[in-house]
Amino acid sequence: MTAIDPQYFGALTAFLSAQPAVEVVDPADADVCVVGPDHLERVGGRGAPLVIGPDDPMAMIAAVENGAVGYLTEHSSLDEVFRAVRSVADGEAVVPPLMLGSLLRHVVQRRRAERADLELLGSLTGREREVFDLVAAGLDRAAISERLFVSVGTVRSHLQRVFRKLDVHSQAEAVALAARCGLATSDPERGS
Amino acid sequence: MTSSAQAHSRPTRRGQAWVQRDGDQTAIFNPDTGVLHLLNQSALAIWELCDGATNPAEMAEAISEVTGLPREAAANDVDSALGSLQAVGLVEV
Repeated sequence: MTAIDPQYFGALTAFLSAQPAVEVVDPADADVCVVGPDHLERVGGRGAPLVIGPDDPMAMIAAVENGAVGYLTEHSSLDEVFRAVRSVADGEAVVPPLMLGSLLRHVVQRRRAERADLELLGSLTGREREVFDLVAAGLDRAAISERLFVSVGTVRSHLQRVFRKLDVHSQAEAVALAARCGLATSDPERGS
Repeated sequence: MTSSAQAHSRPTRRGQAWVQRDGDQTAIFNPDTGVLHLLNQSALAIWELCDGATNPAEMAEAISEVTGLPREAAANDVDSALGSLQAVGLVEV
């Protein structure tokens, strides 16, 4: 566990250690890792992250987007943490009841944006899509022209149309759109 | 309303419901009807999604992603909750 406050950490460790079916172990061996929001990125191994953080829906959403399986506020009782640990260990997601609506709204909006991006990609011709995929993989115009056996001027024309259809204005924005759509953003032929 | 029509609906919260939250309990007072309703976590979350722009399929998709519930089960829960909320006047479908 990596908690926010050392005193809370000590109390939580002692409380959980006394509970049946709970054993406080090293993070690498844990089924559930209880962490503060700033330590979420340190969670490795197989432990499912349960974050204890601010009473703020945006903080909760950020934690979930960064891999948290459960989220509790700092005001949660030790009993609530214990119940959440058991729920997360059983494979359940845990969020504060009053924050569930905020999280669902966020997911709805994210999925709408993803569908909109995919719709934009669907408007590209086959060749435009080839060019987009190579731009998203980080190739410059010269590399794309070599790969597709066309002139740099032809690549430039394709890119202008692609950018206009996708409403992006740079390679960086194209890469970001590709990432949102779950597309590869590295060139498999280069192994990077 | 048929299932097909409901799938494309955009449920909207009715009236100016007054929300009183106390721990895990949420009481919603609908001044239009003068009735106080107690909603559990799931019903409250679905009621909050009834913003006039979100359809039941989107609600089910989000619930499925967040909870891990299979999509069909989430859709059934959404339909059931919307039916109940509509029956007590808290949602217009």
